Amino acid sequence: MEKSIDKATLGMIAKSGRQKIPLVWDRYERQKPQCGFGEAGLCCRHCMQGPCRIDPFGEGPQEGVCGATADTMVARGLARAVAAGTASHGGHAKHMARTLLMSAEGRAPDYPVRDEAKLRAVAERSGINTGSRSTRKIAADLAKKALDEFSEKDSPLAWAATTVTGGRVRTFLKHGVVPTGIDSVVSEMMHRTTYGVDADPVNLLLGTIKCALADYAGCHMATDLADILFGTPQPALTRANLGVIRKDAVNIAVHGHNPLLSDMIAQAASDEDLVNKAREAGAPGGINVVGICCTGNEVMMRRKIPLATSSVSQETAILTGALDAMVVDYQCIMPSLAGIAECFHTKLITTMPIARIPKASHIEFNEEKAGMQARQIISEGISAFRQRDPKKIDIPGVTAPALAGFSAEAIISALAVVNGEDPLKPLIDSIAAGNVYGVCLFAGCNTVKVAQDFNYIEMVKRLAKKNVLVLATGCASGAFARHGFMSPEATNQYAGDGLKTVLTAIGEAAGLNGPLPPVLHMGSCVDNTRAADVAVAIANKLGVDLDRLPVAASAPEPVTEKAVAIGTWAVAAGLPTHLGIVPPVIGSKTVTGVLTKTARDLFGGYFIVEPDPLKAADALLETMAERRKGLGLSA
Amino acid sequence: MEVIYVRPERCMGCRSCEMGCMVQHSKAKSLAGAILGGERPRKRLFVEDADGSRMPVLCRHCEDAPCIKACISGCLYKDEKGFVRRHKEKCIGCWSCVMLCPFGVITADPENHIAVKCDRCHKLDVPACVASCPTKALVLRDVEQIPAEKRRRLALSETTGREVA
Amino acid sequence: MHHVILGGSIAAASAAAAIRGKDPRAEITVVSPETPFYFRPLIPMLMDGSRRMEDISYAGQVKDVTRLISDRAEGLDTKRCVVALESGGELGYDRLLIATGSAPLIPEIPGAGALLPLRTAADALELRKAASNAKDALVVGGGLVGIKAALALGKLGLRVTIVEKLAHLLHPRLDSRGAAAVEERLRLYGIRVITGETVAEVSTGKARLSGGALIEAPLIAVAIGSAPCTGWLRGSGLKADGGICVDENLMAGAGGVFAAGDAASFTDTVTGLKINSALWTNAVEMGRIAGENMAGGKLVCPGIWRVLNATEICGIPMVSAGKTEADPGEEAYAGGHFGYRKLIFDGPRLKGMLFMGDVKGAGIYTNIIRNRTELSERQKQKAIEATLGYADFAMAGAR
Repeated sequence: MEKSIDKATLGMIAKSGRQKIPLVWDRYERQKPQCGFGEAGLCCRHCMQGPCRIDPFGEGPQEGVCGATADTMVARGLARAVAAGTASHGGHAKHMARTLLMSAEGRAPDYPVRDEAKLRAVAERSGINTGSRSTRKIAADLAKKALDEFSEKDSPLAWAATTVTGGRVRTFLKHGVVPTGIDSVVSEMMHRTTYGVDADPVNLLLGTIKCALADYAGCHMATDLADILFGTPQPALTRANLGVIRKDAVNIAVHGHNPLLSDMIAQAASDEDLVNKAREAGAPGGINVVGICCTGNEVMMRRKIPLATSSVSQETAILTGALDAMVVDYQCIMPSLAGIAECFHTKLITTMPIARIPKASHIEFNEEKAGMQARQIISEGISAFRQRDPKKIDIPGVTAPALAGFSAEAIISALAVVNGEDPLKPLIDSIAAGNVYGVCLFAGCNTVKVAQDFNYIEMVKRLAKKNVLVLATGCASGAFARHGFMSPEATNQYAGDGLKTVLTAIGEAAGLNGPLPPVLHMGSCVDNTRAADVAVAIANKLGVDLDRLPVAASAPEPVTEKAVAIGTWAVAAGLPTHLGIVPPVIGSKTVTGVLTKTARDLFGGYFIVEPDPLKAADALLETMAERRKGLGLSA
Repeated sequence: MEVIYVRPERCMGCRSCEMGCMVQHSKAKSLAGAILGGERPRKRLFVEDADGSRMPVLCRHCEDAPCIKACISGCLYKDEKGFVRRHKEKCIGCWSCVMLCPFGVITADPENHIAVKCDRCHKLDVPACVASCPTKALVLRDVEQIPAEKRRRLALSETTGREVA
Repeated sequence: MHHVILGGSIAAASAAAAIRGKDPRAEITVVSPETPFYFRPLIPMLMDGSRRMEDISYAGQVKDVTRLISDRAEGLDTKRCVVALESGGELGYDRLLIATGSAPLIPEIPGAGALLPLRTAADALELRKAASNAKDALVVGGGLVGIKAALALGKLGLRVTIVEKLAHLLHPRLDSRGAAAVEERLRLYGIRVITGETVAEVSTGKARLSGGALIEAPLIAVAIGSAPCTGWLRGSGLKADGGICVDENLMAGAGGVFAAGDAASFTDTVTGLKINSALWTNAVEMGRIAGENMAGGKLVCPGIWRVLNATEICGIPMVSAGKTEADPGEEAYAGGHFGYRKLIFDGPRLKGMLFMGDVKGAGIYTNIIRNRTELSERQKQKAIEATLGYADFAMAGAR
């Protein structure tokens, strides 16, 4: 199998072969064969009487030591994955909330509120009195309100209940899946999946959906608070792929998920003293901050920081031999980076107390002196630059232009240029007319199990041709950006005529001198609720619930437990949700059936598992056709 | 001739070999395909537990195979590569081979009412169980590469069913 | 070297293959009165019509025989090394294998007409023909052959009764508890089973049993066992007291004469007693050993089995080996989660086993019986718990 379809990545893979530096794909080969029981979700290590496995073909054991069946095991495994994803997004959101509180209390001077309008809007939505109160007071109340969301409350999570349609809230109440605390629901999930608690697969799956809705709340909170502290993204043109790493500059990569430190580094990069120091060190180009993975998306859309590469190919940035420092926070950071950095001069710097890597340098992040720390990290990069070995430098000359930063607010304001009184109308009219056949949100990761980007690119080509507007977050964004799908040119090349007309009209009106790109960059993977916000606005405007809109979601190359959580809430939100990797649930007929069929009766959304990208695209188009018919639109 | 050589000290008891065997003997030839297709392929080798020591036990394709001698219907035969195989359609389900296999690796398929045994994945270069083993507890070895003494012991253990010192 | 093999069944085929394996240039002549080389255990399937003669023949696979003579041996002169043939000729040999098999025992039943045995393919076809003219059938003898015959007749639409003289069916292959399960299942299949009785007499198509009952019996099949075909050896000087006596190399006393299969008597692996058996597996093994030795080998026959059977009756798979009832001083463990399972131990040695329902791993047990393996306490315990596997022997050395 090909490892990637990205030329820059392939170049670095070839280099790794020559230099005998094993990368993620080599380790995957070494892992083969992977365990079939794990692949089917049929192993359990929840107690010390295990590990237990169930024979999916019926000849061997059909129950674990405790009597857990395949259905129980698979449901528990999925539940724990969603709990882990929820904990991750929740942790990210809590970190933002604490920083907002410190900002409001004057303890984090480097983090002023940068988007007051958003602060007020979120506060009002959350039932906080704004009026003529000061920004600091509102921010403090909102931060406390946010922190209250983590413990068990008597009321539903505000960030879930106030951000979806009324119809969704009623559906969630009906099925008893309304979460009342983000951390508490994760804790509850750990409890109910431990030895001898919940054995009913359907009950477990409903609990899983409740947990996933807490994940939704955590994601939404993280996005809201990031916008408040760093500004709500607006489209900005930058570039993507390894070619953004510069031979003549001190290259510092920010990698991970949270904007808290990466935004500081992006700011500090223009610090004159530091730029001079870099020049003195022999880098005429000064300081070049590049992004990797989702923290890369955060600074890409707010600070035009170019994106070097995405999650699965994170190691290749170091392989260029020109990366002087890689500074990481948390999530999707491969422990392998330390070993690869050792083969070069690159300084790997961990920053979070909960995420350390042996052999990496550690500069523990402190919100109170974040700006100073950012400068310290850049200085580390400058001194590393002096150790560069010119013979090892090999930067693939591949980049693509990328217009990033289509927050929900940005999309609405772009539409407002067309119709100031009723911004959603042009979009809804286009959907009704079929110029926008449907909307598909691409989310998730890159995986070694698929040639990197292959599924994304195959699917987007097919969907854009069929006039489907594509939204993207996380490493889906990275894939489309690296392949040029976030440039206006791509619209001309790939969009169907209807979609081209719409994107051109909006783009021209917004003063872009050309169409909007066929794929709108909505942010990092924590930002998926931005897409939900747009869908909710459309649904409310039309007076229908989300499960009737020709909107779908797809994670064609998923990896993480966070992706499982997002996929699950997308289903609960009423979206047909495609997975391009068979998830570890196929060992249970019941669970597979609930996820792919029964969920539809309960929530309107359901999973579609299809490894073939073209078949997957057709399956999504089919769901859109069905829903368009349901709305009385041409199919 | 290549034989499947077992290194019990490397066996983790993960049963990946059994899984690989079942998948290879399914119609779909993939785990997901076989499960979703509702197939019930049967394994031909067995990871056994001997009080904490684990080892995969599988057909040795014995030189002087007791199962072939036991077969009363002409089902079992030795193919040109020396693999003990079945003419499936000739099996009458008398279980004589099950009765005489000293390794206990021929089993009764209750659904199709025929004896099931290892066919050494004769169409593959590397048998599925060997390919599935993450710790290389199962490896393909040329019989000539196995030291003569070990070979003698293997041969004796095959005929007597005992590990010979 | 001219090898003459008398008999055309599996001992003969097995011996021919062994001779050929050792001596590519050997001349091998087979003398058989009936069509040679078919899977005798499958003749019940000829009877019920599920197989044709060509389906059960393995004559095509027997490539080691140089000459096939359709004849019957009538006498043997070991001094001149010649066999007298029924057709009148004589056949000289350098080495001779007597594998003439056994013939069915036919009981004396006053008033009875034809009593049809089931021993050869011809018998099976004869029974099939007879069945087409009858609605009822009586099978005398409740051993394996009797039961298979009864089931075949039942399949042909006849009402069948089995009469067994002993207290239970399938003695000694099953114990009374196992036999009870088979009886129950046979009844479910519409076959009447009467044990502990014999047929006293027959008149006008009805059989009167020793207990007095009258049974419709226009067709009577008999399957009360068989005896070695050795009558023709009278005067040859060979000892043939209920089977030709052979030494450990399966040599029958006179120079160059060997015997194998049902015709020979030999030591029972388990009891050490001289027995003659009609088991396929014994014939295969004895044929191979005799063949090797005829071609100059010195193989020793370790023993044969009185009980070594695998079969399936009315959906119950079963394997028994050695013995199924414990003798004084032996311990029997009977039980089983699925079906019925019985092991008979003499101290650390397994002497007998009976698996019904689940036969997985039976070969491990037959192997330890054959090898007289002295089991460790743990191995014995695992055998009793039904968790003993090959690994318990292979890994025993490793620990």
